[in-house]
Amino acid sequence: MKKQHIIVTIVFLLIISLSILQVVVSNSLSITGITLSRLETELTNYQRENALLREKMLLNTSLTQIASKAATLGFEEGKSQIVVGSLLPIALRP
Amino acid sequence: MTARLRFTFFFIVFSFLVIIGRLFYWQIVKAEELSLLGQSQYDAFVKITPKRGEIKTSDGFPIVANKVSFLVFATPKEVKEKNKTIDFISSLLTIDSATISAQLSLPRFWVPLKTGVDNATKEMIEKTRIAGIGFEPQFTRLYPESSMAAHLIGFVGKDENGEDKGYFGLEGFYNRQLRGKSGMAVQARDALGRPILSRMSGKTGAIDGRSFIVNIDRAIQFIAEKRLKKGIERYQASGGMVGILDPKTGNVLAMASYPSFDPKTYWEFSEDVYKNPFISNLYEPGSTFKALVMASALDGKVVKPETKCPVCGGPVNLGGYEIRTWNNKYYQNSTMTDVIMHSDNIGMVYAGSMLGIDRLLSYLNKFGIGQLTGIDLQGEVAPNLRSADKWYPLDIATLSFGQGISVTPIELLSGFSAIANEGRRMEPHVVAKIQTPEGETIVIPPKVLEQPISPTTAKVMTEMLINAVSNGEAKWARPKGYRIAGKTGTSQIPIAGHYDPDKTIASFIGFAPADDPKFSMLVIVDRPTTSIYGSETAAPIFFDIARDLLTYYNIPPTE
Repeated sequence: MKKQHIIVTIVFLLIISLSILQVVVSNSLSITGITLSRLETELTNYQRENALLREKMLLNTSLTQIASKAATLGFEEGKSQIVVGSLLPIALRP
Repeated sequence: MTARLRFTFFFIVFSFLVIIGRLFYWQIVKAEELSLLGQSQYDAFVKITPKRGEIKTSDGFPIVANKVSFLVFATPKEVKEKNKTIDFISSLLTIDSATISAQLSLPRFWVPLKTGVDNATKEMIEKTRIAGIGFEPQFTRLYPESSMAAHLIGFVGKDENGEDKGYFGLEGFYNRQLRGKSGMAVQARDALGRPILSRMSGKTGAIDGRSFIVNIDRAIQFIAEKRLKKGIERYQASGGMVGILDPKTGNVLAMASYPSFDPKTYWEFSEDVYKNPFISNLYEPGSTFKALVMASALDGKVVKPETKCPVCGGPVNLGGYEIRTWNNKYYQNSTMTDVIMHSDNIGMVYAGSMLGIDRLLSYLNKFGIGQLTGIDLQGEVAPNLRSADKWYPLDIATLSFGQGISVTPIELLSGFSAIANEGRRMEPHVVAKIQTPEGETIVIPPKVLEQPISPTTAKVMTEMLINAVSNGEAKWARPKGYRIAGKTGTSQIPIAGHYDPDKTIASFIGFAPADDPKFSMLVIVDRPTTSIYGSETAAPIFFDIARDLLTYYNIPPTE
């Protein structure tokens, strides 16, 4: 009789503890949803930031932009060029 | 007692039957409808727009990329201070307040206000925390090199369903591959609209577009555009174009035309400028065409470079019309080399007549005249050549010096480039590689289309063209020390059955270095006013670009 009583008590406690565990896990899961949302937002923000930085980098490294800045800074187009051919005896001997 | 028990028993059974029947109705008969109703309450369906593929130049720089912009929308029921919101949004988005007011008055849950809003504007709106205003990210095209290569690229507009669609150029030709495939995402949310972990968002079916690496060399494109623009201004022309190919592979290294447009704001330009004139406009090639006719005559072994022209002493009469040289100068017994150097129409009539119309047309067909070149750009045209029986003697004579025939610039450049490539004509191609979203790279190999002339003929013709550059009308403009093969062209514009004497299309076609060509190029100047001749307008532009390219390729002078 006493043994039966113990078994019933254990089963009862097990049911209670599992029910509580389910509530805790469900609660935790629903909160994790908010964390997930936050992480997703953070990820999107980083992706957006990367896209914006890439956009800036592309605009600043474009030939159009470089040529325009070079002109503003006073660089001029090279008009003459010197070609060193193999026939010229330049510094062949000390 | 028994009756009461029986009544109770039947009542309970009946009640259960009613419940079972009702449950059957809701769970079996109405199951699908209720399921959808439930989904609409806790699932949010979001359309996933694929990222459109990029277009990169041969150095890997994206001349067309994607930038994140935003669709600003409003949920009218949530907007609290309506007038304040209207004033603020209209000033920031530069939309008149009446339009926003009308949108907010619509009996809808969701109304779009403006697309393509940049991140800075979005952040300014967000800081004010106005209720009822939201943002949806979307991709728009970014052009880091502004309007560079606009005719090659084309632009992205909308189709009849409001979806992105490429028009003209590469965007049009490869639209299906560039756009990718849109998909759907489902996200379960709780009553407060927060996502639930147990039903995570799932994306299905979305495939990003493929990216393209093109043969266009960014530096060469930049040089070509800069020089062409300066040339058009200098010669006060209506327009102009340049095409540069690698004659050994058919790779399109650069292609530029003016007037042009900005693909970012294409709607602000006339629709006439959207077409790429280098592949879509027909013109009479004039003397630049002589190179193809002479190469045909040489390959057909009816003339040699030293063959003397017995009829070149004066004008010739054909069908009641007198054919003259461009400058009314005549050279009796000049050789075929001299004929090309002087751009002598009479000498070309002689070479053409020696070859005969059947063989001449056969050669021109092999040079690709009257056919599409197969270039991978939207909008290429090519009128067929008439059959041999439809050519009159006068037509055959004028054909020999490039009049009475219409070609597209790409058609001429593609055929001419065969001379620079030991007689092999290559398919002009813009795209070099295709990159799939899965990381696979598909390489487009060069394609030989035809061998119109033998390598020996190509070599002989090259020498004649080098002589034309070194001793012809445009010799003053050529870079010293380099062997450049080329030919000038000045064609009059046919208007109402006759040629306009004052308006011309000036051109120059050539390749360099002649012994190991790195590029072949065609420059066309439309209606120049400072001079009507190709040798004084198109040729200097050609040589300016050639000088830059020879330096760019680190090619030293050889003479």
